[in-house]
Amino acid sequence: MSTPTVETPQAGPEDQPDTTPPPVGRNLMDIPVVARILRSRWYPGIVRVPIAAVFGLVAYQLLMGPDAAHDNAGTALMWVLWWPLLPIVFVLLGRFWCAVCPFGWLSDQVQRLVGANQPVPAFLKKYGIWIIDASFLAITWADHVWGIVESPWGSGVLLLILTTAVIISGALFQRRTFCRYLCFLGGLSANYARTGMVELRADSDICATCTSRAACYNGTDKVAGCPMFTFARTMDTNANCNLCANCIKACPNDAIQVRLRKPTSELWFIRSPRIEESFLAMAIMGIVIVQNVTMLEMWSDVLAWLQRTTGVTSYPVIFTIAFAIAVSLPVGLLAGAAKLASAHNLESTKLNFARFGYALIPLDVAAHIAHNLFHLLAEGGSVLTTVAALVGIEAGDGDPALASNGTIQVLQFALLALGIAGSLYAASRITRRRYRTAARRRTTYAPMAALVLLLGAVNVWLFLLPMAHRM
Amino acid sequence: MPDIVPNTIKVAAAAIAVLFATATAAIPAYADEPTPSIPVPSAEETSGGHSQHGSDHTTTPSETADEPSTGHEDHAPPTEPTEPPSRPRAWVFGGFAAVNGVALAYAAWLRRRTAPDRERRTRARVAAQVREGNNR
Repeated sequence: MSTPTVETPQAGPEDQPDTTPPPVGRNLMDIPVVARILRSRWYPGIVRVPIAAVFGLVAYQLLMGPDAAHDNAGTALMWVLWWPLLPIVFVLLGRFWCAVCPFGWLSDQVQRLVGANQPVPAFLKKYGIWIIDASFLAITWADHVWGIVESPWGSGVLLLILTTAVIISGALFQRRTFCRYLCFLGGLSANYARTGMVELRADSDICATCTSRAACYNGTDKVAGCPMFTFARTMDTNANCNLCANCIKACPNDAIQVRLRKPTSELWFIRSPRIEESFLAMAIMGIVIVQNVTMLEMWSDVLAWLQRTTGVTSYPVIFTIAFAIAVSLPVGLLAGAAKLASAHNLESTKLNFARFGYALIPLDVAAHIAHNLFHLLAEGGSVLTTVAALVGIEAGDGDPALASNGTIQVLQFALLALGIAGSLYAASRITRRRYRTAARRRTTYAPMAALVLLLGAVNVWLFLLPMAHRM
Repeated sequence: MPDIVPNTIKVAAAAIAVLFATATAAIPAYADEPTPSIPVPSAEETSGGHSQHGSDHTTTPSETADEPSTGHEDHAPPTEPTEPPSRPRAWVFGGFAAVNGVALAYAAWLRRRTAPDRERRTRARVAAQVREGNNR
């Protein structure tokens, strides 16, 4: 007696979900020089020392130097050089900055001297990213209302406030609690590092045989544990790795690899998307829009129009309204796109929001770098003149531009084109990975692609308009 | 049904190309002018610490001199000598030292109080490692 066979409909190749595992790129630890540097006891301290020295100078200049931003080397070094270069470092090297950040070093020293080493409070673990989101928005708001960037004293006070938060956190809590759960720059770098081209991962086959009681996480007698509370064995994101190489030094099996990878590839392998991280991605988009809008010549006309229309003459009130609108706009648009997608892909709006917020990160990064490129290239000369003035060399009040506006704009548009392409590709890969049928993929991808194109167009339009200088 | 995603990517790529071409074509004439296209604020203008927003703000028509200063809008005319703004340095540095001093002292006290627990945990960990080593 033959058993009846059940005919199952044959799924076409287009109905197969993309289940390919994350690609494994070249392991940089195979290059002897790289391996030697990362295993050296001088790494990353040797990079940290000059950076800490420059930061000390910046802090001194901001707090004790000239009151005019135009003459202050601290303002130039901090806001014209360091701040614009930072997102570029995030893309190239992930959170490497966090490994050499003077604040992180300060936290380590405080911990060594008086640290109570208390466990991280549960509410920080749960709501840390929301605190980062809120503090990032608050600092941006404060900058516009009180002019922190244009005021050396204001920037100096901001540094003192951050220093206080770092000292308190380092004194009370374990490892780098501040960097992981509270630092607004850490939140930004965590998001941007996902697009990075370098990843640190453990070889799971070797880890399966490990008997060292998680030396990569806990550390050894000679090497500290992971400062970012990340267990290399299960790690699948760059967001919480600062490439400090503690795990590389502590691992007795040489299981840790530092690999190259395709930029943005992490974004479509995220297993547990978090709404707060997607919210941060959209808030950053809003912040970039605000930064661009308030630097436009037409901003004063907009202010005047708002004052005429609403009768409100207080700048903080008007700016707060404009800021709220600008930040809410990308968040609301993603919520709308998620709502449209959820009607067809059988997942909740919240999950769609969380999943596809990550796809906007490439455009975020591109718009952020494009905005900062203006400061770097149109005002970069001020770094040289103000630093030269510190040592008594009069460099004159010449044009601080390092490139013409035309060149800067071409670079900005090239970056935006890359960002838009990266976001569209990431959204397409997420839909291909997640949804089985072509119809579901199409109805999910369409609103997300429309959102990327809309936000891209807004950014292109903003970068077409002339911007004011910071210095 | 053919997978729509590759098609939408093609459409999106075309849209980017159009967007980029439009943007490049629409670069206004000032792009070729030497920077800065907007006057860089002078040292006097920035001495209030709010060059960009402050100067924008002072151009708004409905603002009157009778309104209380928010520390954002008042700028001395460039021709008049400006007094350096007073910075509450003593208060700020004093507050900074006091807050951090208290935090460090509290952490040191907490560390001292929890030291026995920490030592006990260390001893337990070492003992566990020794036991594990003996069993192997």
